[in-house]
Amino acid sequence: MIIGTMLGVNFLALPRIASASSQQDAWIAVITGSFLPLLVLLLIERLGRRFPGQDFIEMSQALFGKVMGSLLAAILGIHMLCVAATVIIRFAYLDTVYLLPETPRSVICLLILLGALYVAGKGARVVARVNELMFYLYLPVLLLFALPLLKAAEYTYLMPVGGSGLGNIARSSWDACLYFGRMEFLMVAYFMVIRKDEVVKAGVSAVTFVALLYMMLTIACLLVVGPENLQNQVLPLIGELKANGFQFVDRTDLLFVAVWSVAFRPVFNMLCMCGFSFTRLLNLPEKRHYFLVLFIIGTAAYLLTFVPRSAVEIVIYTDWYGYTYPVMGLGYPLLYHLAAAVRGRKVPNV
Amino acid sequence: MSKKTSLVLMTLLFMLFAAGCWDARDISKGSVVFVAAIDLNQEGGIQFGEPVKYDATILMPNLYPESANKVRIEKVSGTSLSGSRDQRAYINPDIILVRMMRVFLVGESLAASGIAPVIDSLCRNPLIDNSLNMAMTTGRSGELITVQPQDFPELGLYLKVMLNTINEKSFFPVVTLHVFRTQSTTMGRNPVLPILKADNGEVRISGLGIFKKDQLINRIGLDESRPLALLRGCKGRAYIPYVITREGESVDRGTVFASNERKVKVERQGDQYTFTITITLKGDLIEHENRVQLLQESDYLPMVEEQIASKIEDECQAFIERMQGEFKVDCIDINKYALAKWRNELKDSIDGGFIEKVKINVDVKVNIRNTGDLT
Repeated sequence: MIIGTMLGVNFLALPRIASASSQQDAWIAVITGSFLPLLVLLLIERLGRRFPGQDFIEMSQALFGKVMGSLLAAILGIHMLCVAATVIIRFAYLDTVYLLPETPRSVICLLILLGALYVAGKGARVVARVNELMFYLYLPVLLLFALPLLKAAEYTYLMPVGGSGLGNIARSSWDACLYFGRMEFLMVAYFMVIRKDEVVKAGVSAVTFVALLYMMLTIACLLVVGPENLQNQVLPLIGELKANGFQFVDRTDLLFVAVWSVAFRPVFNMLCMCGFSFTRLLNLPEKRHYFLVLFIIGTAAYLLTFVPRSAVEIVIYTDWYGYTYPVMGLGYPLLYHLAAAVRGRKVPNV
Repeated sequence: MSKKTSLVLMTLLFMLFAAGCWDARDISKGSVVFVAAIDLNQEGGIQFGEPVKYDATILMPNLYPESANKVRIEKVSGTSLSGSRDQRAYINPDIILVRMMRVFLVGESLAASGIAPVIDSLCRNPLIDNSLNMAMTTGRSGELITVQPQDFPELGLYLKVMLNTINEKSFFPVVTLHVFRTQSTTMGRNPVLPILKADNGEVRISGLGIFKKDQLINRIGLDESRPLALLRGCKGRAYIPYVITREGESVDRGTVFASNERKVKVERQGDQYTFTITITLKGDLIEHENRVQLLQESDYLPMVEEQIASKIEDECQAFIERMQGEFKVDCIDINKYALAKWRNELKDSIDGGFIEKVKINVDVKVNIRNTGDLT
């Protein structure tokens, strides 16, 4: 589920972002950027251990009081709603540019939302199972990125290793870490896990997988397109796929987009977590009202997709929104840890 | 609403939208572009208050079986490259489909003025395949596109096969849109383009255009294309004829069919950079006029190898001299090896005055693996 939440569409732009300052060393920046989600994971896990048997809402209200705790939970819920909206619009952007240029973006967004609502509506267990299934289904698709290397790889594009300088690598690491966001969903998801002792192991494995995948994709992109050319492409990984045609698949880029366009896992993961948060927050019975809450959240996310008017605005707005990931991912668990430390053992049971 | 009803409604909605209400295209109502040719406009004229700059000619196979012509060729002019497509509305009732474009041709005068705008126009269109082949033409490309090759359904297929597989029969670079784009915009690198020429109703490759970034600066013939491809490390297989002479008389004449490999080593002493290019040719002897039995004369085969190596080495050295003295651009793609080691020091000078000052050594190794004697 962690992998499914992190892997949306934005990784297709990661090589451009990571190479903007660090050029040929973008892959190093990607690896160092992955320390952020690891830190977020560990912070949330430690926090969860302090409150066994409680969920996110109960913990918030226990630490900050009913009003403030509810407000903080609501802010995180709204954040996850906005994340779902940004992911929907990025998928819609991909479809509009490559597959369905004449289809109104609002229709594509609606289709994505309906699919995501259907999965999220089935509950957390089904969402987790769908994530697991899609992980294995989509694994071979990612191998498509290796194909252009057979014909167009230029190893000098990666050299000299470390030549861009520590300052540039650090700057790019910060940019790259924004692409490892959305781990804050664990603030809600952690408390739904039954075997909590396996969360760290599974989380570290997932983040390592994503970090290695991102690193390999960045290297592949650098080898084929080159660090200077990356800056001219909004989604350089699609550019990398376009570099060569093969007899068995002439357009690997279109094949990838066609297959990936339904991989909107972050949308239903976020909607699911958001739905549970608000259902609990409003103290509504889950069985009866979860889907209704989810429907309202979905509608709000859909309305948000109308905000950007052009592809450029989509990229700019979603990039801006990326800055909220470290704020929410690090800020929330740190704040809760701080509150727990201040309150010490006087945390009341809700 | 029950779950089943909502599921059925959702499925119907998906089916309705997924079928492509907006993006559905009937292939029979489309004109599929196979070849496009761009030239600088010469006639002049004004469109929408601006001077006309480009001529764009496209070749499309005729999908109507009753039609007498195999292909339809359309030329339009415009103030900008993509803007010229507007004029097609007035001469073609079909939808123009560019997704299957195979070859893109650039006229000589446009190549000389720089083809960055052309590349920009092509790369902004996500439907265009970056693996399409590129070439330039002697004279106007719009005129060359009208040549109908014998025994081929249309020029697009002929050019695609020829440009894409040329390196299976000759040492010659295969240039795609991706290759040209990356090489023309990357520090230290410069692209080349095959030159096409119309000759007695046929289209043939006549050499290579040497580019400084996106601008044509010189042309070389087929004889010089071989050392360029070998020095540049363009992988291929080719027929290498040889003649062995003793005391001014030819004693043997033959051919080796070989593949190539290049390794480049770069060293630096102060400001002096020395490149050592090692070209390895591995292949089979497929022709040998002299009646010497190669299995019996063990010294003969090394002599043939030596002869070929020496000839290729001379060709390469002559080309390097011309490159450093006349072209003054790195058209053999070795700058990147220096950048790989000293990027920060060289980034300001690599594209201006670097290649002329470096020392380039060439070492050719030939390995004939099969002589054909036992077949």
